[in-house]
Amino acid sequence: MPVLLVTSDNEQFRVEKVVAQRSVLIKNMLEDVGESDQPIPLPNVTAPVLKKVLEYCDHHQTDPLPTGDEPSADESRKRTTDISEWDQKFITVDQEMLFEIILAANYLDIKPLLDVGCKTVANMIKGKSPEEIRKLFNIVNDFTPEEEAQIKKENEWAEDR
Amino acid sequence: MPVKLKNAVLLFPADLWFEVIDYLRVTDIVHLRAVSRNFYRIISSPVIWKRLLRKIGAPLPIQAATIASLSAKETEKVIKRALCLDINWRRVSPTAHAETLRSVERPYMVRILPGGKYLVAATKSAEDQSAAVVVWDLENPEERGGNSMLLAKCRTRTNISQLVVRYMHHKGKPGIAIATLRAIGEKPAQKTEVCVIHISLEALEKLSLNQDPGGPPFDLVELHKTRCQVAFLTLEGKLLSVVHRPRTLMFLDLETKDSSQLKLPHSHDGQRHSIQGCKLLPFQNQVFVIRLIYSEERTSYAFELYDIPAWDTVAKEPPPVSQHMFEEAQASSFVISEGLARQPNSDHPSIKDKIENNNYFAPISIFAHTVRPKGIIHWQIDPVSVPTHPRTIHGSSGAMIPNVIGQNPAFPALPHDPESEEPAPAPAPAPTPIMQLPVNPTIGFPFFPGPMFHIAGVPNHFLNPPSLPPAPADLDVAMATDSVEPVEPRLQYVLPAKRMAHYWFEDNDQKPTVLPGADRSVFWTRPMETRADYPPMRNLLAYTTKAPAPYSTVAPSVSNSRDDGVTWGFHPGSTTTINAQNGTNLPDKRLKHLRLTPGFIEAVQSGTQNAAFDEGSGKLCLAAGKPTDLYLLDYATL
Repeated sequence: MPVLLVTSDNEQFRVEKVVAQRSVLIKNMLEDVGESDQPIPLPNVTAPVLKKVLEYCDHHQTDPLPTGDEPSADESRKRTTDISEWDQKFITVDQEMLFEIILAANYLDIKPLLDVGCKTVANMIKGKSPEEIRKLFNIVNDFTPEEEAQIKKENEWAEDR
Repeated sequence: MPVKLKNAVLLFPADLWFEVIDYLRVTDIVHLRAVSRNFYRIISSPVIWKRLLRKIGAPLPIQAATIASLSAKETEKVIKRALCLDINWRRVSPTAHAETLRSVERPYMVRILPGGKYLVAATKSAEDQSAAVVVWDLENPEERGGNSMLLAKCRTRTNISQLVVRYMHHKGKPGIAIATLRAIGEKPAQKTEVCVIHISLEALEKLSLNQDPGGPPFDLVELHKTRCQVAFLTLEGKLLSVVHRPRTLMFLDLETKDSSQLKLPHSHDGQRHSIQGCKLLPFQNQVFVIRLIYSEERTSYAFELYDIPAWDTVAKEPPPVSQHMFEEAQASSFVISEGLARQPNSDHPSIKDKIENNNYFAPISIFAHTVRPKGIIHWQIDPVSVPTHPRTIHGSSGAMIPNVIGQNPAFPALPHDPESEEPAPAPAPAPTPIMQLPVNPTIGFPFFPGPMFHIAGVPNHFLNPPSLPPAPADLDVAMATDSVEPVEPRLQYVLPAKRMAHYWFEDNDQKPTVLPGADRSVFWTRPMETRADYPPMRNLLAYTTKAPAPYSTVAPSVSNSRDDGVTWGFHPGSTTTINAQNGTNLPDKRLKHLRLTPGFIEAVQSGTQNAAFDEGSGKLCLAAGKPTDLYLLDYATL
């Protein structure tokens, strides 16, 4: 049975339940509401972003769902930034879309997509100097020269670690 | 477009940045915090640093406080120390940040508490010749004057002969226990005073803030005098043991004052023995004892484990729970590493963490001098996983665990039989390159008699794989149910010890001192001829138990290198590493020399009294020079 999703810019998406349920948020909503053809509003997601997110869900619809009770110890340790080939291609988008996808994945509670997004951002940052990171994200350096010198000193130990 | 991009980044909440940062290395993280105030604020969160702590993969310095109580800055400091030390210690010649501590309290004995924050010294005042033990804070924060600070002092009347320091809870408060041994009265009616004092971390913190600790800082935990000849003290947890020569061990619970005695088994006529070392293993209710057994015919040594007797009882000559006997050409000056625990990277490690990290047990390292050839020998006792009912292993009969070296429980009365010194031969190892020990041209082959012909640098277990005794019947049930869920590892120190390495000198006129650690140790040597209390230091060497991984290209071999005009006449015995189990023959990178700054060289050469080393923090303290000052070397440097 298809599910009707409505984006913040009032566009409607009709998707298979198995695809929509990749989102834990939607899955929980459906369980709460029960069988109903009421549209589900997603006020934090725009149509172009949802389209992209649903593309991901569609491709991964047969993946095993994360159980949610994996030990958190594993999460923070020994994390690799390897991304599968399809995901890599999927996430090759402009920066704005990348951040939008991560925000949407976070809101919709799609852990694997969130991981792919965060890994991609991490890969963009890796090996860059502070100045290169500023350029990358178009961030203004708002430190005073004194503060900057102080931080440089604080950071000294961690170079090439 | 640029405006929108900026919004996208700024829209990102901090917890999503935490997710991103989880994938970054420490270098990238510090680069990110130098980007802008916003990022600096995000990376000031303790979450970032606590998560990083869990994955740095270098041994952490011991923390007296809980991980949860550490701030972001403090956690960063722990990570910084662990990483810098790990990298520096693997260099060809590790360098140190050096500091000299001058005080009217002239030190003659020094100890560093695990973690490297506190230093305890036995001192004699230059002003009034009064003896004392003093506590220094080596990490006084910048805002309180920085560097090091003398916090507390307790008079000892006269010089002490032994100093043992441990973190210990007393009256519910965490703090430092200081155990001392002191001779009182004139010979021949000389007595020995055993004294344990305690200072809480809370009191030390107040003292470092120049506040009143609200009462005397030190608390007397134990004080007694004995006419017995006390060999030495050991302290672990709340358990104190006093070794009386020739063969009695007294155990005392410092909290409940319960006590018991263990009288070691007597040998048959014509044999004598003396206790060379001892270490308490309270969590397995045992004590590890090193004994020298000698008669006119032969000299041998025994590593033994005994059960600690029940309170208020005297165990008379019980057989050892297990025993590892071996012959060694005049080994002496046995020292045993102190720390039994490694620092976990969280307060509540998961079972998976515990399994991966051996439940944070550290191996026990034992070092001794050898005379022929003159050098240092190293054994190690690893904690091994035991069945869930460890006490059932050896049963009520006190029978030994089969399969340990030295199968004679009726210690040590059997006539010498070379065959019985070793367990049944393991499947004969293939003639790999590790079996071909290079012969030292200057002194020839190392002298290991008969059955103990092991190869320096090759641990016993490669030749004699340790195996546990057959499980008791009830264990099968336990195993069946346990196989579903991972079970918290139960570990125990079990004999035999593995022989890890034997190093010897190229020239025969040096006497080594070992500052033993489980993973990292420091050796220093002095000339053989001197009998001075303040011998000049000849060599200072770093020793790492774990050889670098085979693919490591960090340090070239430290053979008989003579650089910068200093002769380091210390010869790594074997050129084989313990990684040699795959048959590769790699140069030994475990031993290398430590550099000293010129000022320090002058001091240590004019006389070195005592030294202490904390392997977790990488701090080395030398009491040296005339007059004696404290020379602090911190190897956790860039």
